[in-house]
Amino acid sequence: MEIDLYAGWIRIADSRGPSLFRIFASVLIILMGTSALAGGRKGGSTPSVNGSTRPRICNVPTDGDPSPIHGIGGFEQQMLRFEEFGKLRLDQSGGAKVDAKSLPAPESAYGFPNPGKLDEFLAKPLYPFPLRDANQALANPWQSVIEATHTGPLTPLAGKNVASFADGRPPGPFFGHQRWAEFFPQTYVETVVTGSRVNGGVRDSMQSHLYAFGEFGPGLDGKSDTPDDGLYHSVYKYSGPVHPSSPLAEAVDPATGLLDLNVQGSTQGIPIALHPALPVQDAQSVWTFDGSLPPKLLLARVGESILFRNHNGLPIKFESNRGFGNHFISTHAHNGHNPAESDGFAQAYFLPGQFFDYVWPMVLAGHDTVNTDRSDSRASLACDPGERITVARPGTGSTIKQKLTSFGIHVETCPAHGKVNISGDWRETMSTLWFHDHMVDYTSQNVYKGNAAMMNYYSGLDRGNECWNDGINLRFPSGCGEKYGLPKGDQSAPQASKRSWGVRDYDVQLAIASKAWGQDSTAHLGGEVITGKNAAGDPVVNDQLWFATFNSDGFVGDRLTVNWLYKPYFDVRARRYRFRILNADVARFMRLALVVARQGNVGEFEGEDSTISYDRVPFHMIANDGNVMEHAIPHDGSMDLDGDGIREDHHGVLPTQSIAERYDIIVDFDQFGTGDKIYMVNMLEHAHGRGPEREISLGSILDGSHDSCDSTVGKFLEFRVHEYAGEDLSMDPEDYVPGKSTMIKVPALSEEEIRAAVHHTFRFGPGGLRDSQPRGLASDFYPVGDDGKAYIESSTSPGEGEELPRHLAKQPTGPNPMSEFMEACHAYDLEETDDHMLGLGLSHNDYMNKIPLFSIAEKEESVLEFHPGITWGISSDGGSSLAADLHRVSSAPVIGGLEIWHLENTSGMWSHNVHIHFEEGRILRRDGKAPPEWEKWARKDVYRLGNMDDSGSSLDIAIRFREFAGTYMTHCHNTTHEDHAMLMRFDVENPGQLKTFLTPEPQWNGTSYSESHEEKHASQRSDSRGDALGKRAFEQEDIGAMLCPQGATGDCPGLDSESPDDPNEVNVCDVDGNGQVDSLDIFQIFRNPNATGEGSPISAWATCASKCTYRACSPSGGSGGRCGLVGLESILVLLPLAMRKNRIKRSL
Amino acid sequence: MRKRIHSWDAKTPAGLSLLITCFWVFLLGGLEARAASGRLFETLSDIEVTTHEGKRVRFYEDLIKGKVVSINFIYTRCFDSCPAETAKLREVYDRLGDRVGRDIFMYSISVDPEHDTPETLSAFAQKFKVGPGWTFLTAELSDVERIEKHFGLDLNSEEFDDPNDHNISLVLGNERTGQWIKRSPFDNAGALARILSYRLFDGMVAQNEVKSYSQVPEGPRYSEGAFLFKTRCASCHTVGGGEGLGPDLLGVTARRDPDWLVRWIREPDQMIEEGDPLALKLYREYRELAMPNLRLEDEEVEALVRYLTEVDKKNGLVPPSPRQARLH
Repeated sequence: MEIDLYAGWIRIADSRGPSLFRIFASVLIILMGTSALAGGRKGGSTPSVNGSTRPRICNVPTDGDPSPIHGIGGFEQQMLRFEEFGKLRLDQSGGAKVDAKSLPAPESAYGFPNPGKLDEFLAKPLYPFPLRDANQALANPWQSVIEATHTGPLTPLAGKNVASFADGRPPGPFFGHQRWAEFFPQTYVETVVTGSRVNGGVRDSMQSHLYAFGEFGPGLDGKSDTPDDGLYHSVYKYSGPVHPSSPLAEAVDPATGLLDLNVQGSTQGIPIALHPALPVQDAQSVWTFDGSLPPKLLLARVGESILFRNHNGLPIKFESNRGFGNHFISTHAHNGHNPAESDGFAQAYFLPGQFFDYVWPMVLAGHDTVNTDRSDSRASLACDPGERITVARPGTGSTIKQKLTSFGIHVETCPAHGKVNISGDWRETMSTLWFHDHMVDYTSQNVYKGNAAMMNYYSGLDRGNECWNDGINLRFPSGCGEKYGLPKGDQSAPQASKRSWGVRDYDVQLAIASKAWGQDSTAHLGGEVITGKNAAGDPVVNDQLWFATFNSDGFVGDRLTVNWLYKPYFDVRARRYRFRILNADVARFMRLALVVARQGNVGEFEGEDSTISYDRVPFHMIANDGNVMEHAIPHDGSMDLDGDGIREDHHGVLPTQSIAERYDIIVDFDQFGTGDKIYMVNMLEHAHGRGPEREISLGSILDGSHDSCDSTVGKFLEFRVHEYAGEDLSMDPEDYVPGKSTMIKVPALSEEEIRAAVHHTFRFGPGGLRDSQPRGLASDFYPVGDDGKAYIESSTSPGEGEELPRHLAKQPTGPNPMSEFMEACHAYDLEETDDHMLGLGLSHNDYMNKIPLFSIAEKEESVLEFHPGITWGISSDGGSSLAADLHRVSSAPVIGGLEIWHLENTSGMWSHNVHIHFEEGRILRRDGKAPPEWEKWARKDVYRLGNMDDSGSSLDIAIRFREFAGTYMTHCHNTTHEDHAMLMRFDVENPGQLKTFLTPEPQWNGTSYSESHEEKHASQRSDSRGDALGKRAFEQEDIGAMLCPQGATGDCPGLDSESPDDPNEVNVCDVDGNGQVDSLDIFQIFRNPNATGEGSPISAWATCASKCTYRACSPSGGSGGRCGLVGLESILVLLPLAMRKNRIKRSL
Repeated sequence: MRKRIHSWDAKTPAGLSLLITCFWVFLLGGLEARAASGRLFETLSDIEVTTHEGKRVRFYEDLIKGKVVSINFIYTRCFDSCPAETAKLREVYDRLGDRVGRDIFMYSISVDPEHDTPETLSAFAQKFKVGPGWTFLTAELSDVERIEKHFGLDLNSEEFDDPNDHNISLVLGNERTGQWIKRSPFDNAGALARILSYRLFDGMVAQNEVKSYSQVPEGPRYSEGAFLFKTRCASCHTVGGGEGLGPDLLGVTARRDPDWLVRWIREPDQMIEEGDPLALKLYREYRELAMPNLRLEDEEVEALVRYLTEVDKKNGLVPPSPRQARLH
């Protein structure tokens, strides 16, 4: 058996500790033990509550029973659209006349503020007025309740007069708002994170559409509940049975016993229930912004600084949480280009009764250095003509101090074209973001509990008004913002429409997350159990959300919700829509597909029975991680997006979407008829929280023949097509596919900039807290090289190989079974399951022949449990794998610097999706190869590593750190991994900074600071900063090829062919047709600049410079021709190199 | 007929407002009702364990219920990680002072109960000079496994067939509130002590040594060696601060042959095994508490020796011969 095959190397690999030998021996034992499952997973399954089968290996929901659905069929309730926070103007005069107000205190330490008083509080103007440094004058308004029922008398910190603070921000300049005067907030939002309550409609009047515009409006007649109402004038509709505990139960028609509900023009009266037939979630179960549904959305504008004042309205007692969630919170603006004090550092949390002022300046990255004369109208703030706009102009001078004090503030009147130019790089324009809790150790539980909202950034480029035809606006589907009636698409006077930006009629957020309920929540309580009672006096705790708090692998729920509702439907017009899809889960990866139901057996996929079948729905992906890409990526089968030779695999199917990744897509419902139904389908199975298990084929999902143990696999959202009377003026994404026009280009990168970069290597894997790794700071249990292959360490005795820096240790000494095994697993993962292969027209044998070592069952099982129960860690620059310590700085980029970060997954089969705060990066290579189209043209902030075919073991990314300093984090966004404790701190430092930033230590009587320390290679103070070996290895590679990777077309990301931003940049072509743009090409140009004629270097160059397409670039006419972008200086640098290289070539 | 809830230009129907109010009365009223103790540990309620003092106690009822605890898993035959882990926890123990045993309880549970009798555990505790409030426990192996599994710290026995290989994560929790946190025992001892003494009490306990922002001094710039010493060695050793679990290292570079010192830091386990006379002498002198092999890299050892030499030089203690510590 296999065990013999491996016996030899196992002994060599490990003569002392348990690790490798036992892991693989036991895996093989598992493989053998489960070979009875060959041919499928049907064996060993047990019936579940909802009748589907659950093979015994599946642990979904994590450590629990299936969530009861009480016969809910699905697609009975209307999907909630996000409710806008609404922004208010911040009084720029200092707020002297504002009346004092304070957060209403709860009656006891276990309670929540009274909902009515909360709404009154929210309706009043902001008080106290925001300050640069934390306000140290006001005491926590809940101090008396805190002291009386929780802490006893609080004593002031040394040097302080008060014993508590209303302002939860750490004191002093460390957490003072950076560049306060320069980016002084123009607008503000105030909210309270508190327990579930019925929406009081307090934000109705703050909606940009006022329930009066376009599809949100009541139609031309101005009256609700008439046939001409906009499609979304109804906020929520449902007909059917309702749970007796719901406040809606009273509205049931006594004759039928059913509820017939239509909430129009307001969110008032909407409770927090995942479905009306399920109980309402009580205040201890769900904590959201405002404590209400719908989930909240912040409409922000690039160039307009926002103050986000978040109050902590949670119970004073920890245990008032129904077993999960922490009442201390920190709000992280996921990848806003924000100063660190407003980024939501996990250790800068604030306490019940307190508020925290987050200031999000909304500047474009590059504000200080790029387009500082504000000449490029692609970098612009979207405004309503006539509106007064305040924008900042960066300072000038040679020193930091000069720069930071010489900034300018411009107050301008918005011109008729609706744009005010701003400083910064237009290529850094962002669009779809979210913000969520980031409490140390508790992010997963708090986000699961509801502490998350979305945020749309609007700009001149992406202004959310498809009628605005100014040559800059990309005109994504949105609607036109007209006040009454349906959009008429009157192009003659588009700019007269009332709402010039932020129109949401056809621009829809979809936040998808799995939840679990019904487990007796008292079983998950350590102490006090809160028991509600219904009218009859019976306790009602059933079907509340729950969470397995001791699980370290990731809590995955078994029911998929969209915008907090279980299996809703959504009405759409027969026109183009933009969907901003967020994976809002805490541990679940997804792969989403769109299909349309067809009558009869005419579609590509068979249905559940012969009356129905399905076809794929084509769409275009326009933004990745909320950043509009250079090209719209067609998911219609027209292109091979990932270089695997197959076009159909992404037809109607999105890439894997891990937690926190955002994909914006455009779907054209005009291809369907009224009444057609389109479904969103999840294809990705989880058997546990360590990562996705496998993709289930669309065919087997749609005909019901699949055997997945995961009940979220399948249809979870239904779109119902309605007639569209207006004219769809939105852009056609087909005009922007690779090879055609560009949308927002990725930031330009030059080879010399990359060569000057600092490198860091971060490896994500087990923290390895086991005996055999006594440092507790263990290395990996098997290392994986950049090429995805694993290498055995030569010995486990210390000092001999094991402790070598990874770049030395990983040199393979010849083929070994270990790397073959890993390769096989890797190949398996690349190819996915056999049914997927069959779906692609490949035979079972084709698939099997690729991996001769293993049977199907073995392959299926090979991704199973390797190593449960461990905590997680990150190793930086060859150091040990460390669990999070928020006092430890693992890297410290200097403001203005470009860095190359190598992210590696040492966890083999497990998936980690790495999130880097603050800045977006460009993926140069994935597993040493060109990234797929949806990453090649993109800026990312979440980087998937793991076992899916579109993930992998290593990533090389280029990332710039600009404008702001302070303490940020990088972590796995499987938030359970993050909490246990795959998270590291990185500080962005000022040039020449002499010491690390301090670490805040919040407590009831105020925040003190403690010292921080830094890892060996972290900062500018280190004499060996960064990963020098990694840098050396990287620079051996063809960087030019990385900047211009192979893809569906020969175009290069970031290349500005029409109007170069930088006059010092020229396009260089693959003049010699060797398939690469390299210094040889430069040499060719300089060698014979006077040559003319077809195919000569200079003509190719000229052609290329005028229109850099793949054909024009390749004088040889072959398929390898490409373009690259280099700086003129680099040509001078590279010229001698080119000559040298050329000599070498000749000598060969 | 559909029931409309429509408040764009009209107010919520009175009935619904009332409903909402009632709902809130129901919810808020309910919040004050506090039921019996939770059942998070229900499945462990039958487990009995024996302390290093030989007392038979109920794991949940007597040791966990209503308490703030730290729980980790060790075994005394374990040569490297458990001593290092225990020494690190002792640092936490020291920082917590007399609160351990009063309102914080530390438990180290043996995963090798066959060998680790109460007597063995007691000797182990004495080696580490462990005082009241920190209890070493032994129990039926199956029960230990249940406890590990409960906290999500089990290593699947099918995969880890060495019963002594175990997860050494540290569980910190407050049973009464249900707040549980998993950390590495090798974390910053101050941070661990802070979680145990403050965060798990939900901040209900006054903080010792709290500094406001203005009082925090410039952070010292540690040399690499000093940093290593602070993070890896200081659990057991001081330099001039008196004996800890191991000897005071002031003057060690003057006392010892440099080659011997380097090797002793790198692989003390090997030297004891080979019967190096000085190594054995120290081993016996310090309660047979072997210095763990910390798996330091050559350059780390070098940095440590450099640091110790600098301190000795400052104190006028010079190595016997002027030659530099040399690495093999």
